[in-house]
Amino acid sequence: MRNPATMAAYEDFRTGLTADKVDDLRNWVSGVLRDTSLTPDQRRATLAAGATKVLPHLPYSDAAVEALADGTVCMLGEAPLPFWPRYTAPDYARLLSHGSDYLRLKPAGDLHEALASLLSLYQYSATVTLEPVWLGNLDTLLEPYFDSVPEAEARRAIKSFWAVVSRLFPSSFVHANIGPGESRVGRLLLELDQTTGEPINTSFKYDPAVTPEAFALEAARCAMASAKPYFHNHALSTQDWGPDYAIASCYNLMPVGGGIHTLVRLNLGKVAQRASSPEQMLNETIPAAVAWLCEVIAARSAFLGGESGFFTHSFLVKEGFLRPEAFTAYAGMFGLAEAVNTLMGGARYGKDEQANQFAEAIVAKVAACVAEIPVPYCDATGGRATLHAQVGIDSDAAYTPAARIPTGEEPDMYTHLAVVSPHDRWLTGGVSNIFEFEETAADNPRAVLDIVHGAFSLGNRNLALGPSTGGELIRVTGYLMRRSDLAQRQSGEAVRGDGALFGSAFFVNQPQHLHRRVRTV
Amino acid sequence: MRALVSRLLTHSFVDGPGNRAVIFVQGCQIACLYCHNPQTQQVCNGCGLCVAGCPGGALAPGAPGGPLAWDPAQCLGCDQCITVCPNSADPRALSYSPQDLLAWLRPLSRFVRGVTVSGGEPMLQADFLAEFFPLVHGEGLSTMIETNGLVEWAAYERILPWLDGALVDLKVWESDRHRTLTGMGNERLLENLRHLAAAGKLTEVRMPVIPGYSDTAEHVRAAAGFLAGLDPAIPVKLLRFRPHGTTGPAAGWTAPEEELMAELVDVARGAGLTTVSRSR
Repeated sequence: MRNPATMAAYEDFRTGLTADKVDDLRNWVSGVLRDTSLTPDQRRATLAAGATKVLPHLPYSDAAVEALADGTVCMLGEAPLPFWPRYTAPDYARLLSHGSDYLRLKPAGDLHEALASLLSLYQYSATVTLEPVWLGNLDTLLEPYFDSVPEAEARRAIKSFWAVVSRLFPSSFVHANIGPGESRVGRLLLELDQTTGEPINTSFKYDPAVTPEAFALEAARCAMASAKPYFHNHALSTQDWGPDYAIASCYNLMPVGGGIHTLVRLNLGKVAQRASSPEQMLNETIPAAVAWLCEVIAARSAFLGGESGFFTHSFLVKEGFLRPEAFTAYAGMFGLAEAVNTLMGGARYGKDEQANQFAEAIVAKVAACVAEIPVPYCDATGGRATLHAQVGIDSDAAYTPAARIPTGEEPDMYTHLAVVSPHDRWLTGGVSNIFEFEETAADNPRAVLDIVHGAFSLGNRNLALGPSTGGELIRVTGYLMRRSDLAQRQSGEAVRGDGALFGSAFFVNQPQHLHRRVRTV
Repeated sequence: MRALVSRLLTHSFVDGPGNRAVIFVQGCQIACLYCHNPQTQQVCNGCGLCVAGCPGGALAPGAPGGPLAWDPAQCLGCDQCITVCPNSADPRALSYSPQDLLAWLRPLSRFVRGVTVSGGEPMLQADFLAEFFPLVHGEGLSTMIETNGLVEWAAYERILPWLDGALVDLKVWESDRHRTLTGMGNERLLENLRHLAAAGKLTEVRMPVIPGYSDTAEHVRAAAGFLAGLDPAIPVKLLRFRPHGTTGPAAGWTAPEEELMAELVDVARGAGLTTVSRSR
């Protein structure tokens, strides 16, 4: 998939492809199928995505179309008519205990069968990237099978599984969860991440009251070695979603057995350009913009939930791996920093108290407006969309990802956490902030946990922590990728991982968002 | 009581277990040839030699016989005052009451598990610590000192009830060479190490590996053997000497090679210590 945010010359929200644009389409197809910087698979996926765009979008209001056209409201590579969900979190425990008629899989009898069943269902995940965005709570899923074979064999099998997942799904959006409890499988995955460096996102559901300290220390050690796992505030997300939730893709939250119909984003920086004062932004501009945003989300969710036939025909639903009532949709937001800085007359987000308070008021207001507008097929969240702080894409250029403080303007670590953490209670659909430490932090994982505990006590939901020197794995806004893939991509060669495509484009288009302040320790 | 403080650090991962706030006090009774912070050794005597040359105009004469007045808002941080000072003292050290430092520490408490008082030599201000540490405990935070171990034991005894741990340097094993390097023999240090170990307060012993002083297997074997005799589980860290930031002859010394550091770790383990690490 190439840059999904930019419209090709032949696309049109209202009309779809028209006769006078057929040559534009031909040129585009001709260019993509000759593009040697893409693998054949990537060319095919790009062409398939492009084909859906010959159709007009759903009939949105004039105001919503205008907001889509100028980028106030924007989509991320989804088809004009959604025919499967953006993200799914299949109930893998059900697969292992019940098997699947459609896939002709029996209940898993031992570790090898459990791993084979998981790999099979991953292929059918039905997500926007055509790859699984969630691999399951791998420790709780696999621990019961760990003793079904000799230990050395179990370790070899899981190591191979990890390597195969990384090669089958090199998209940067594949995400495994572990924790909050300790397990042999959880420890093994942390061990593998410190040694083999597979670019598979891993979130550690962490609750200092539940997680044994030794296991948390191992996770901190791993993060300082390989920029993962991410520390996720399990207590907070359990409050919002119940105990069975998934952290998928770029820190996206949803119920296990559920998913996200669509992700449509509000560019808060552009919203602010439509306002003349902070008061107007809060009282008029945000409510209007959220109305356009939710109109688009609601129409897309309605199409997917109804006309697309996904929920009536997919075996994932029929066999109970996905439950319609566990679905919702994302109201995404980014560019909070630019929104604040546009309207505060010199006060800067991250630096000035007044600006920080305005930032919090913006997030609270967007959340309140989203909570007022009904969206069909969003039973998981009371018939409303869910607010998500989206980590951005290269074409955002002038706008800072999510609710983050712009790179280069980051205050000291404690202030930084105190400014961003209070937003997270409203960002139930997921959020992340990245902190990079000097390499000596690896010698003191307890200190890393101290920072995490402080952040959690301020309401922080999710921290991506890593070494500033970087290993082979690096994190570019939301994308986890291999440094060598990035170099290969930058030299014009095709690379397997879509993440390297997006990440590389990020380096070209908005390098200012990459060089984060290194936290001296 | 008040403490003379050269620097406050809101977070550190290298001054004891976990993330810690650090108070660097001004004043040290020894002068190591390789000292990385020589400006913290001497206390400003208010002579005023540095005032006229201060490019920011941040320094002014203080009360007679007392320290100079320093205006942080005007200070350029150029350190010219230290260069000019015949004692290489820093006139910018500030005086704090225990309550002042508690007020500084309190907002940090959600992020740190304790405070470490470093220096300079914190035990020269033991009376202050005896007042300050109970307040720190009152906040639910732990207390540590980084000490050269060369102050009389009575001073340590005064703060022992409120001290959670000490990080102590064992720089050179032979007392004569210790004197050459630091200005004092090490008999009192070894005695204090014994006392601290017996009290269960020895959190870590640091052994700097200094070329020509403490970089041989014989040296490490002897020092490690002594420590293992106190308690084989004492965490011991070998610190690799770095010339960067030193002044005087040490600036010309070279950092020990990786291979030597690794070998010395093995030697320390061979001498009976179970918990040995080394700096990068």
